This record gives sequence, structure tokens and C-alpha cells, in this order.
Amino acid sequence: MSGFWNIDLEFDRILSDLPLFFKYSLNPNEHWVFTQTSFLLVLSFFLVGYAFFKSTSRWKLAYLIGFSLFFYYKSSGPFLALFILVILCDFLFAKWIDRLEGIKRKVLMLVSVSFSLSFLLYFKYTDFIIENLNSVFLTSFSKQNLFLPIGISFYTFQSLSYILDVYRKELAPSKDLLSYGFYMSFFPHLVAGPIVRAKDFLPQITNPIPFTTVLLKESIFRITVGLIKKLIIADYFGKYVNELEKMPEGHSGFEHFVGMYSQAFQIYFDFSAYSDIAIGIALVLGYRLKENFNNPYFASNITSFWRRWHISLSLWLRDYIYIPLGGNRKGKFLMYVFLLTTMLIGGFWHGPYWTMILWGLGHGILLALHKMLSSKDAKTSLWSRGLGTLVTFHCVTFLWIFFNANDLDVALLSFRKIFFEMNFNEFTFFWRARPEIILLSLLAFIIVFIPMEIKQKVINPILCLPLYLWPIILLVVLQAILQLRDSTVVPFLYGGF
Amino acid sequence: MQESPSNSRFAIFKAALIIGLPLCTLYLYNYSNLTLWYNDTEVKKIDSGDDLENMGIERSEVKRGSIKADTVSSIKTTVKDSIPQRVLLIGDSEAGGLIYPLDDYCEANGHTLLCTFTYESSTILDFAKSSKVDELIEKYRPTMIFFVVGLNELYAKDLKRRKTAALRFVEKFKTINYLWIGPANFDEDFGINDVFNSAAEPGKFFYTKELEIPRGKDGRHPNKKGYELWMKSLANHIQQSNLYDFRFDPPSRFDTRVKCRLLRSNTQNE
Repeated sequence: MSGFWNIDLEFDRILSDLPLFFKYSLNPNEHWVFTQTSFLLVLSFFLVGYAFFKSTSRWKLAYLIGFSLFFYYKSSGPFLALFILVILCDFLFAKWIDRLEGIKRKVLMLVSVSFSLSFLLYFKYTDFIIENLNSVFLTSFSKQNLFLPIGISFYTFQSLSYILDVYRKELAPSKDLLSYGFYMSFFPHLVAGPIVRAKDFLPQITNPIPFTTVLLKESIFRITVGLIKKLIIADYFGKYVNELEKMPEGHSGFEHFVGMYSQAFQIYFDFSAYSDIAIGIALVLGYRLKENFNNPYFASNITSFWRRWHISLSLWLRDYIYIPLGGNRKGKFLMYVFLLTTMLIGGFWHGPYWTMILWGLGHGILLALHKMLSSKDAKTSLWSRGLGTLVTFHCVTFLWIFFNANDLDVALLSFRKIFFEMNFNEFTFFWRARPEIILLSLLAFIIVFIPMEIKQKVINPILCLPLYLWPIILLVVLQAILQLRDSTVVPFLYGGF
Repeated sequence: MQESPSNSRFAIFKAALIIGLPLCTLYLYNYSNLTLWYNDTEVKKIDSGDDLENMGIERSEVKRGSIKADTVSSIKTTVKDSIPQRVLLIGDSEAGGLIYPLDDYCEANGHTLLCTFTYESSTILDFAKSSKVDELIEKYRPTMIFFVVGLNELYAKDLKRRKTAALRFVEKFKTINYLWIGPANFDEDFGINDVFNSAAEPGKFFYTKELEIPRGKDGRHPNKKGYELWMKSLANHIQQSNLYDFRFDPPSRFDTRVKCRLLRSNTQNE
């Protein structure tokens, strides 16, 4: 027992590690994300300081903005300057637009939108354009291999929604830069959403949620669940999916078949984990972000799926692309065209690849087909809803193959393997080699397909646990994660968009 | 019931404690000299401090992809005595691609490729604990070993653990000459190449990451041409080094026939 008291702390190592903490890294695998222990440790120290400010204090906002910018700097380094530039310009543009009327107002809105979009187009789509120009016109422009600043897809959409809301007179421009800067830079939603609208968020600045013990338990629960979903479930599926991606032709049809479900679960658990942690942290800080997922795989049709999956993006696409295009106001045929266009843009937003465009197109076609075939008055039985859920889940899962594939050849190879080279007899071999994937898939099926009411019945007793147990629960969860995962940290999938 | 602002602040403070206490515990354990065990399982640490400087390993200045492999021209020399070598190739999936060009080089120079062992999805940790390499060395008694590993641990951060494993592994070679081949990096690594370089005897580690090698469709492994160019660069390294006392001239052509025993295994099957 005496040995236990002879514990020495390696102070030299601590001192030499400290400066490393202030360095940024542009490597996606080193980004300072919610699941890093160093982030969670710093967050706890940050919260101690945060607790001393009054809930409506301007200093509190400044303190939070400072932390958010540091959070952004850790993953984007010099690109922080670009982010600040976008914030400043949007703030000024919005004020200017508000003062103008008529054609001048419209022109300035277009200038502002083009300004925000130009950075996204440049950093995200330059290589895609070059690659396609080269293959179509046989030119030999060299690719730029540009770094994609973190969260640029998300903050560009936020900035666009702010400018467009001001232009449409649905929102008064923010009076002070501090509030607007806070809305844009608020770190829980900065990297991978949810895409927050200014009209939902800005009012919370003057009227934050009183942080109660009930909310405290809810927020810690959301953070803990998010860590488990990302670091245990999603990353484990991710390992198998990566194996397939490494050598797609070397795997059998059955392995691709299991891989297809693994992809579906990986994407869901990964992204919803990010949203869970973001919502949990925002809640501790006194702000409520809207839910981004609502049992999406439980949807009985594709329209319902998009009302449950990445809700903030679906609503953004609806409000700023689909409805302005004409929505369902210009006849059925044009409605289908608008749906396809909206989903194509949605697909392209996810990534500059043809596979993403096909993924978006696939969803557009499914949405149009659903609109075409469904009738408002049709009553649905439990059986037909169940069948609808099964069909919808599989349609979505098939389309994830495009979403996840490195290129079109790999996606087509997966389809070929699944549809033409499938042999269910391989199950026994697969079970022997990778029982954990089968078991985890079963667990994922149960989690995903259990109705919300039943989940709530499981969650409620957990939320009633006494507060002093939560540090122990979190410690056990974090240590279990350390034990189970290897040293390879898979970055949040949506962090790369 | 609306809680007062002071209660609200106290709740935030409690949140800080709930998150901070377990994290402080984990970090104290991480920076302590204590290692806990639960039954036979080590209670793992965060390993946040595994950077090369702390481990006394110099970060190499090798730039990833700075040399185009197809611009490297073969060095042909017959000055060296050509003692026929008994060759063993072991490694991860990238070793699987090197089998054919290595066999061609061996055949062209009078050496014998005895056996290859491709351990799919493996890392140095798997090789260190596997007894397969000891068995192969015992059985084939090679005089030269080519060892390639690292592709599956480019993002590894627990570098201390891997350095220990690398040192343990290299002991298996005893007095046998070897060339430790670094992975063909498809992305920048976190220092695993430098860890391997520090574990190998001076001059016996080859930084493949310096080469820009044509990739296969999966984007991770070299294609057939890539493996041939890679082998050519390895042969040049051998020809130029005085650590390898044998000839390794380029073959007149490459083919895909091998006579040696090809062993394959997968970490997932064990």
C-alpha cells in the first residue's frame, strides 16, 4: 500500500506540454473537438469563470466570444482572420441593407450574399471545378489542395440566413457587434451546426434560460450520451467502414452488405452525437439550440425523414432555396423541379464530389416520388407505417453508399457486390471473424428503432440520479472510452463539411 | 419554478465540477508515474504528452511526397560482392504489394525470397506481441529481412507505447540484417515514422513518406506501378548504403509470379 503514496507527478512533462496546448493544428485529426479530453478539461475551467458573470452581462458575452474564437483558432489557426472578416462584413452589410429600399437594397443584398458565398466556393469547390475543367476541356490546371476552414459551410449558411432575413424585413439587424459576433461565433454550433437562425438565437442573448439543477442534469446527460455515441458506437462502425474503403474490391458482397448498415449507423451516431454535445454545452451556458435529430430512421416516408434528419439544414434549404424558388406555388411539375434543385444543392453543400451530387439527386427523386404518390387523406395503418419505415430506412441506407464512397467507381462496386455477389451463407464466417460488428449493429437497430416514448422511460430514471453520482458516471464513461478505443481518433464526419 | 440568478450561477459552477473532476482525475493519472491494473488489463492513460520532443526523438525534416518516385532512376552497380541472401518479407498490407517486385529483384541478383508474411491491418503493436515472426525466423533462418509497417497507425498518438513495441520487435531480428520500410503515407503522420526511425539501427529505416508514389483506387495503397517504383527506391537505398553487403540491381522486367510461400493473416482473425 505504501507504493500508492509514492506517486510522483511528472511536472517537467506538464510544463513542456502546456505550450503545445496553445498551438493550432490544421490537421483534421488533431482538431480541438468536443470529444477531446483537453477540450472538456478546459471547458470546466472556462465554466468556473463563466459562473461569476451575471446572466445578461456584456462582459459575459465578451468572455464567451473570446473562448469561442480561441476554440476556432485551435482548429483553423490563421483562418480565424477570415472568420472575423466575414462577421464584420455581414454586420456592416446588414445595417446598410436595412437603411436602403428598392433596387439598391436588392443589389446590396446580392453583393453581401456573393461575398459570403465566395469564400465557401473558393475553399471548398476550387479543386472540384479544376478537376472537371481538366477532364472536359483536357486542360492541365493543377489542383490547389486548399485547406477547408473549419465550419465554413455552417457559418456561411448562418451568415446568409441573417442577411436574407434582414433583407426580407423578417429580422431587425443586430444593433451591436458584440451580440452579432456572439451569435456567429458561439462555439457549440460553430464547427458542425446545428445551423442556428439569428431570429431564434439573438433574443436569447437578452433573455437567457435560467440554468436550473434539472437543466444541469439534462445537459450533462446529453454530453455523456454524445461521448458514448461518437467515441464508442460511431467510431467502432467507422473502423469497419474504413476497412472496406481501404480495399473495396477485396471484400465480399456480404461484407459490403454489413458495411452499408454500418455506414448508416456511423453517420447517424456520429452526427447526432455532435448535436447532443453541442446542445448539452449550450444549455450549460444558458442557451437552447434547437434539436437537430428526431429519431430519423424511424420515419415512415422520405419527407418525414427530412423533417427528422439534420433538421436545421432541412429547414434552411426549405426556407432559403425551395420556397424562394417557388415551392409548391407554381404547379406540380415545377414543384418537383424545385425539390430536385434544392436537394442537389444540399448534396453539393455536403461536399465537392459527384457522389455527393448523386446522393442529393437520389433524395430529390425520392422526395418528388413521395409527393407524387402520397395523398393527404390516406389513412395509414400500423402495418403500412412499419413497412414505410423499413422501405424509407433502406432507401436512405442505399443512398449513404454514394455519400460515403471515395468516388463513383467505389460506390458502383459496392452496389454490384451487394446486389449481384451477395451470399448469406457467409454470415457464419463473418460472425466468427467480426461478432462485435453484428452485435453492435443489433444494438444500433434497437436504439434507432425504439420509439421516443420508450426511450424517454429509460432516460427519466437516469435523470433522477443524484448529482454527486454524475462525476463518477462521467469518469467511468471516459475511462471506458479510453480502454475501448485505440489511439486513432476519427474526426467528426460533419466537421469536414 | 424560476430559479434565482445566484442559484443559476451555482448550477453552472456545479456543472464545471461535474465535468472537471473526472477530467482532472484522468489528467493527474496521465501525468503520474502510477500505472493501475484491473485484473490483467492496464488502466489506460490519456497519453496526451506523447510528442516526439518529450521522447527525445528528433522530428525528421523529411517532406512528405517531396520526391516523385517515377523520377528516381535505378542505380546499377556490380561493385559489391554478391553474397546470395535468404530473404524474408514481413509487414502489413503494403508488404503484400511489395512481394512481386521484391521477388523480381531477388531473382535478378541471385537471392532467394523464402517466405512473405502479410499481416493485414496490423500495427507495430500487433507485430510486437505476435510470435509469428519468431517462428518464421526460426524456420527459414533468413539473412535479410524486409519489414514494412505503419500505414494503419499514421494517426497514432500513443507514440511512447509504439516506441516500446518497436524496440521490442526489432530485438526479434537479433543479428540478422534488415531494412525497416516506413509506410507510403497518404497523409501526414503524427510522428510514427520518426518513432520507427529511432527504434531501428541507424541507416536501417527507409522514409517512404518522402516519395510521391502513384496510388491505387482505394487512395491508400500504391498501385502496381507504385509498388515497382517503391521497390526501385528501396533497391537504390540498399545499393548506396554500406550496411548491406550484397548486390541489388534492377531486374530486366517485372512479373507477377513468385515461388516462395505466401503467408497471410489478419489482425481481425486473431
